[in-house]
Amino acid sequence: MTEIAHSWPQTREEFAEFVEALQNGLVRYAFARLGSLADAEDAVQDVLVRAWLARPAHAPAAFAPYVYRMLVNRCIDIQRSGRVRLAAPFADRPDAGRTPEELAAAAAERARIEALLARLPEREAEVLRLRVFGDLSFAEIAAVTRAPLATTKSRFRCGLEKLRRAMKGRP
Amino acid sequence: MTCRDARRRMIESFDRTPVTGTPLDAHLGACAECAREYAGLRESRAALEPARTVRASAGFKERVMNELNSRISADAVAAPRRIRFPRWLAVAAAAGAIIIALPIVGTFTREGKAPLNAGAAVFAQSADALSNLRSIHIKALIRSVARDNFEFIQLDAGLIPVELRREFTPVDRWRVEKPGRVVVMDGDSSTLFIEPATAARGGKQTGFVQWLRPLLDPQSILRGEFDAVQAGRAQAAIAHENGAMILRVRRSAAGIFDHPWARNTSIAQSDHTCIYRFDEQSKKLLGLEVVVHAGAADVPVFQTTLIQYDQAFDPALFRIALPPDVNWGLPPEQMPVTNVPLPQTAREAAVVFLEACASQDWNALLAVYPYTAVSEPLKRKCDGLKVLSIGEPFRSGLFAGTFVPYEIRLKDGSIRKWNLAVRNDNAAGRWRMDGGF
Repeated sequence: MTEIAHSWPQTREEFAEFVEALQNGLVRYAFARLGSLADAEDAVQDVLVRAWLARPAHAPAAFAPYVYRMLVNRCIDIQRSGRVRLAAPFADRPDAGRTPEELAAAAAERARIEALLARLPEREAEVLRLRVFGDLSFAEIAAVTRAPLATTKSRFRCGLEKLRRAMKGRP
Repeated sequence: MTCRDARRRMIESFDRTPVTGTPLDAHLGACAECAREYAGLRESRAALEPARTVRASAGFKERVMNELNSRISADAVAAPRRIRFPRWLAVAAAAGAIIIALPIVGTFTREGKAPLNAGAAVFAQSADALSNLRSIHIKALIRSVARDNFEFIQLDAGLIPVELRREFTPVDRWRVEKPGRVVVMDGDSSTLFIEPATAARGGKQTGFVQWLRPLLDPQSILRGEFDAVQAGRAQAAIAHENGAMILRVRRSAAGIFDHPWARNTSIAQSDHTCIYRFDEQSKKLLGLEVVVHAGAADVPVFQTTLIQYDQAFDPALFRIALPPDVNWGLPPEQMPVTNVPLPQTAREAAVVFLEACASQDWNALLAVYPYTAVSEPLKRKCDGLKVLSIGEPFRSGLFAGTFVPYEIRLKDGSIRKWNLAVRNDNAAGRWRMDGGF
């Protein structure tokens, strides 16, 4: 009766459904990491397409955590290579639903939050990013970061506690 | 609730789908220290909440799909350049009924080779050729046992029938069945029924049929196999015989086998070869045989006996009549919080399950048994059961959960040593029993 988790999209139609469902969380996470919507969407697009082209017929993991893990690594690579377009956070991505003021406010918000997360050990900051921006559950974050669930929750707690001390100006 | 329990529950309340119905609020009302701590955590969490939410820009999904299509086209053009078949083999193939084995992609080089466009061209055409399919009907034999997963194989078992039907139009729906087990996707959702009275519901993509799923998408088979070869996950060979293209795809067992428990329990978890026969003209699948390589033995485990296209099906096939007393499988987030603390590890989950069985505490059992009720056959099995030992958990194969060894004595005095499958790969992180009893 053992069921194996098989949730990888196998057809283009299924893939399109996954893109629809995952796109906002993935872009929010990548934007938090990279600070540029153009870079974020390029990274997400590349990761999604690569993931589907390399889809195993029988994947040991669920699709979403696999894609997030790819995206985490891609964002780190981009940051290390210094290719981030910070000067124009929303360049080349016109969106009728957002005014320039809203876009600028979102960029400022992102900078404020990243400044808070920069005070934390990276592993704790990463759990918080994935929870807050990716809207992943703790179990999904554990799968993405390949950490036990209890460790994931512990990192989340430690991250919040350190943030609180930092906001109050305590060491 | 102790302060320690409360601290754990605090963090769980920040999960995407927090466990509800916990007495955390009552504890916070009575314990000022915990209430202060919780307020602090919430304050920190709130500081991370952006006032304005970024989302994917308009047309993002369409750009992704366009990029996907352009990369597939580029691969189809590029792939033939990587395919180098020696001239003498090409001549032999053209001569007819000689089966030749050729690597589709790889470093196969010989003097006098000539570039041939084989697999890439075939799959590029096949999706188009099959795009107007109205239905597919497959009958096959699989080496398995009744009622168990569609994925499950057992090398020393007999061959039992399995049947797949898919209708692409006017409604995309399908039905897969074997003795004692059937799953139907009616266009919106899928229902799994296991005789005599167990059922579960899923969405369009729920993986009730596992390995058989690609057979429901015949237009994607060649593409999928070609991708696997390109990604180095499979080796392929191609041959031509009496108007048919024979594609042999060999894969190593997928998964981690530090512990061999799950090896050869499914086709994916076995070293195996799929032998497809496609019609050269129509590109339609004519047949499929799967052979598992188990040590020195090659064991046939799957063999199609009929494949028909564009049949009209009785609409009643895509509905299931369930018995009134059906025992429903529960998604983890709907499993009840019972009188026992929720297990936090695989071994704890096994302990809860086995001890509840031994003490016939059905309420406690439902903490880890993901059904609306405890079935009568399970209750009978638990009568007089004694737990002798519970071992250390291990992982094996592709199973997303964990196996926990156990030894029990049944009422008739017989000893049973087996491995309980438990898992918590769900949004709630909830441990549940998933077989092996």
